[in-house]
Amino acid sequence: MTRLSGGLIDRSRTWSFTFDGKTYQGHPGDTLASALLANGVRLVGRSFKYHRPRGVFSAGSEEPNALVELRGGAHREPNTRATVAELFDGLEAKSQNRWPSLAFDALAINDRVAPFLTAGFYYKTFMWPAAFWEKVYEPMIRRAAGLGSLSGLADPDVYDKGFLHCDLLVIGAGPAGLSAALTAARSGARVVLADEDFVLGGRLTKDRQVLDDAPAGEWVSATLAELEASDRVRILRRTSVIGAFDHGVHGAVERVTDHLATVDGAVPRQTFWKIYAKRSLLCAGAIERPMAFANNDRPGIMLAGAMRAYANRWAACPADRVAIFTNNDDGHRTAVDLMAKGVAVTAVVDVRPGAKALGDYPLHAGAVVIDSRGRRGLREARIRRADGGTEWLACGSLGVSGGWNPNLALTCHQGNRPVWDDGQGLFSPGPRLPPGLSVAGAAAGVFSTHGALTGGAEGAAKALGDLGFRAQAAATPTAEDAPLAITPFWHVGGEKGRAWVDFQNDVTVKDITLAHKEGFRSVEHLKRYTTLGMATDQGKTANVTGLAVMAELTGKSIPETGTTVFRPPYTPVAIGALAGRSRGKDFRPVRRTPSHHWAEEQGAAFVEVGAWLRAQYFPRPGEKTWRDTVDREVLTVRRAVGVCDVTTLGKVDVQGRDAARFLDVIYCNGFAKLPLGKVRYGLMLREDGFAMDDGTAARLAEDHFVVTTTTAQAGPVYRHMEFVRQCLCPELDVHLISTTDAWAQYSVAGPRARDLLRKIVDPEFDISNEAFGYMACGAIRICGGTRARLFRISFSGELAYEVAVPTRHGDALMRVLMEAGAEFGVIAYGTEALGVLRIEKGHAAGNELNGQTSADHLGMGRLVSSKKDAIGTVLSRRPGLAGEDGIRLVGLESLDGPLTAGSHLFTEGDRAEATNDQGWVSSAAHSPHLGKSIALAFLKEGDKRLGDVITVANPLQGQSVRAKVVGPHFIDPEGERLRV
Amino acid sequence: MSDFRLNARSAFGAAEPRIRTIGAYRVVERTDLALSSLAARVEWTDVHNPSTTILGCPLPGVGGLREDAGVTTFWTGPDQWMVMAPLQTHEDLAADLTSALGERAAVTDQTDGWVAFDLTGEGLETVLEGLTSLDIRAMGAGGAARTVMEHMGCFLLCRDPGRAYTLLVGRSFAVSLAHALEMRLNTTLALTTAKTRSDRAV
Repeated sequence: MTRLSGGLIDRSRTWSFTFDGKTYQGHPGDTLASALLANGVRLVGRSFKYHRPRGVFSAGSEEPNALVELRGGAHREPNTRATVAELFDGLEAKSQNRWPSLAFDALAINDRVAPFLTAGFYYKTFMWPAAFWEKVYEPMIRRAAGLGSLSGLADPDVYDKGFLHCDLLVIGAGPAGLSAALTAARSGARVVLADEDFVLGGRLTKDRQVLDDAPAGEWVSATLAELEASDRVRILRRTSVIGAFDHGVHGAVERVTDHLATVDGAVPRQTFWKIYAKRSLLCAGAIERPMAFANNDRPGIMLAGAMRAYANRWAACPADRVAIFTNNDDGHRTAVDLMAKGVAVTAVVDVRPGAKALGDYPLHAGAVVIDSRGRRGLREARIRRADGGTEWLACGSLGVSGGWNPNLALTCHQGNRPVWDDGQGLFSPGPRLPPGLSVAGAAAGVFSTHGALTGGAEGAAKALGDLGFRAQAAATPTAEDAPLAITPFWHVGGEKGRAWVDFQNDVTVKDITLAHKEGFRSVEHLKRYTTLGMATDQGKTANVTGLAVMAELTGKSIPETGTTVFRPPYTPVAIGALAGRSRGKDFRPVRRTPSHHWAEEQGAAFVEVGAWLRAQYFPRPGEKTWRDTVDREVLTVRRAVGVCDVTTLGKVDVQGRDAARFLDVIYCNGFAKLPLGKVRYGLMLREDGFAMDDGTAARLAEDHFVVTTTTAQAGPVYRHMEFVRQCLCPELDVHLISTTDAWAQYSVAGPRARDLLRKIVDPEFDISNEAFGYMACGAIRICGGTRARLFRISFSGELAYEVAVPTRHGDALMRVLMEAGAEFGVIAYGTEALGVLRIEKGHAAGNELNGQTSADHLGMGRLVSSKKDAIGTVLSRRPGLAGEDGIRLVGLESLDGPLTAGSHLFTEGDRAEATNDQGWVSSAAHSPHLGKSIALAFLKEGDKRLGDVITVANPLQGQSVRAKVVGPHFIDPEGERLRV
Repeated sequence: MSDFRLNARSAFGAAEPRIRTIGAYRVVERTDLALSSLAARVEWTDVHNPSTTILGCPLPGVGGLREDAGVTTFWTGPDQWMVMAPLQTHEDLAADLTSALGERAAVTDQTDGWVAFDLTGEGLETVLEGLTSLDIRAMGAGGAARTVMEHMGCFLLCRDPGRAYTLLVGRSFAVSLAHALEMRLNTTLALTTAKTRSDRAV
């Protein structure tokens, strides 16, 4: 077949492309499908299950058959619909699901054994032996069936995302959408007009239509020119609106460069838009539906409207001689248009006995197509005439039109169900549309061009009127206004051979019959048993027919049988498009500490703590393992002095007349009487009495505290505090703001900590033990006048301070501490050493505050004040949580192998199983100080079992260790080191 | 007096502010700003009086930004504002505000809590619509909004719609935000070029 005349293709330029390695020519404006058809290629793929030869079936995104792999290497994209793949010079496409070649596919043997591969065959056939299912049968079936294959490599393309806002989102730029956008643009509203096609106009580009006595293209061009001139209209071509979500949010995928041969690496391939629309108007048109008959899946058999579209827009036709099979007047339009292009129409076969021809072609009224033949493409179609006689008609292509289904997928995305329109024989949008969304044109079941144009304009005017715009429906050009003339017809019964309903998943009328016979009659069961509508096309051309066939079998009406719903996305979306820029290292942001650069210079190992990147340990030459490094860091802190960046701990500034009262609400222990210049440990409980987080509060003034939180809980605790402030205690004068990033804070810990600090603290500030005792705090100045805060608090159990400076001085302070501390043997220590130090000291941290433990469990029951009420106090005393027999935090010392966090505790001699569980290890470490493996653990009645030997088991890894139960404070239980 | 001195560093650990020029876009880190939060306490009864000013600059209403006498104030929440002033003249801005307002306001130093970027160029809406869900085209001069860009909490201040914005993000996020912003600027630039090419193609 050569090109027809006319069409919206640029014949002045010729592009080359390949399909399965063979080179063909096409023109700008072509899709891969139109170019293949223009080159006489009808066979383009193999079916999912039976490997039947398949050809182009539609001219849009509903395509079930013509799926190809585009591009190569890691860029390969399987299951691309050739009908929407825009041609470019050098495009390379490959067919799928065939071996060794498309023309000869060895797995076509599946078609010969089709009787064994009916719906649900694998439920029946591969029953024995059971163990074979997962290892043998399923992999085998999956290999034999399928579509394209992934490259298995990371997607190298760049994807982007963005956010758009508008008063009116118009989805679809056919006659309804264009006239809606025009109406909206003239009202001054902000408009987004999105269409999945690269040429706007919808059916106006695919039918021979006259608007105002001129070709429709003139009106389309004039309309687009006006829209493009408006700075309040955004036109998104090649953009599929794939979902209508809550609050007027729509998801849309713009294929930015898929149609370009080469692109600059920084240009995204696709952009995922979130469109916030105050109102939206769905003008998505309709999808033609086939009628099923035996062997109706042969290449060359396609939707009649698609055949017309290829002829009119792309000047392409699959064959010189075509026939039409229809149940409505629209099928006849295809015949007329094709004849006008010089294509021979063998016959129009119309199921309606009283059908009238619209042109000079043979018409078989009251007839049906009952079979087809032709090895790799249609050669002949067999019809049964009204008089009962049959004959074979020679035709290389057969256009089938069973009527049109409104394209209402988006109306269902929030639970709305389509309703059956008995008069027109179709599902139209149900009444519970997503808020703000309305429907116009064919999507609303209005099929004439006049109806679409006026419906779009009026729909836009009404939607914008709701928003307060003075919008007047744009005047529409005169257009055809033919009534819908259709006799619903679904499938030709009573013949042998399989009649396809769902082409992509190879579901036939027989499969539906079988499902019915076996009791899978509910629509939901039908779908799952036969896989009808479950392929990548989501049954766009199959669902309604499948439903109608089932209705016929059950003897019920279609609405009684059920309805079909649609979920996002409307068309397949590349995972990369959903991820956008959030991939690899850009998956989430990283927070860097003030000493980050310095730590990098030292060759520190880093660890992610939430979004923070913290120094984990600072290896030195000669240290063979991380343990060597951590042991050195821990021992140096215990012996001399170490510095650790603790900026990541959450810091919340609490101010106001009622600041102390507020702290009394959020902490279970008392703060009202905390003296000025002092810090106190605080434990926050959740409403249900479990521990939420711990930290400190420092009183800087009567009405000013700084609360610290753990690193991991900084965000949640701040949110909780704001909730308490705004919702639970709005009567309190209290103000919160995070200062986590504002202050660089370093822990300076070890017996020489004070000696080191004395070298940098300005001399007017006395930090002697007498003047600045344990748990003191205050504003000071260091290094010749730099503002700073000093807190004498300790996480390590040693004499320790935390010193904070405005973050811009953080880097310098780290360097100064190292320089000034050199004479005391100062080292920097990371989170590993920090962890070992606090385990040795028996301080609870995130592992212990895991949301399952209470103050009692943590051995801090007495901290919960009985003199006041605080969040969680009452429920912390409830039976079951407060009992004496509960778990208690204890220390464990290994008697043989290393202890592992997450291990469970068992009484010696008991089997390591759930019924005997006595608790668990929350944190474990090698203590260089004690020279053995130690752990913190929660043990049932642990406080009464000190000295016992228990079993610490990790059955998952086959470990079992004996350990002695001790108090949780492995060093300095009296706390003398803190106070020197 | 201690022998040691502490040099200030930018949020990128450098001695000088980070400046990037991408096409006609420009991103400038502002290390010369002092920042302080301000929340009205119950004592501040005339806080909504139009004549109320902070260091000579009025306090804006919801979602607003005011600039006067070299000082910028912007709204951050009910009865809460952020105050920006030159660091040179207000090294301890919070202390200046506290001494001016006494117990009427809760004042907290935020100079080092945030890193500020001035973003200038033409058609910046196209850049920002890729980063924030804010209705950027509806934001007029003098608009201030809290938003999230690539999971990072930000303030976006509009100085001149489409041409000049100030963007603030938690200081520890500086590298990540700059990366996101510069990536977006590069993308926008490349898109503009590609679009021209594509229009020629079809």
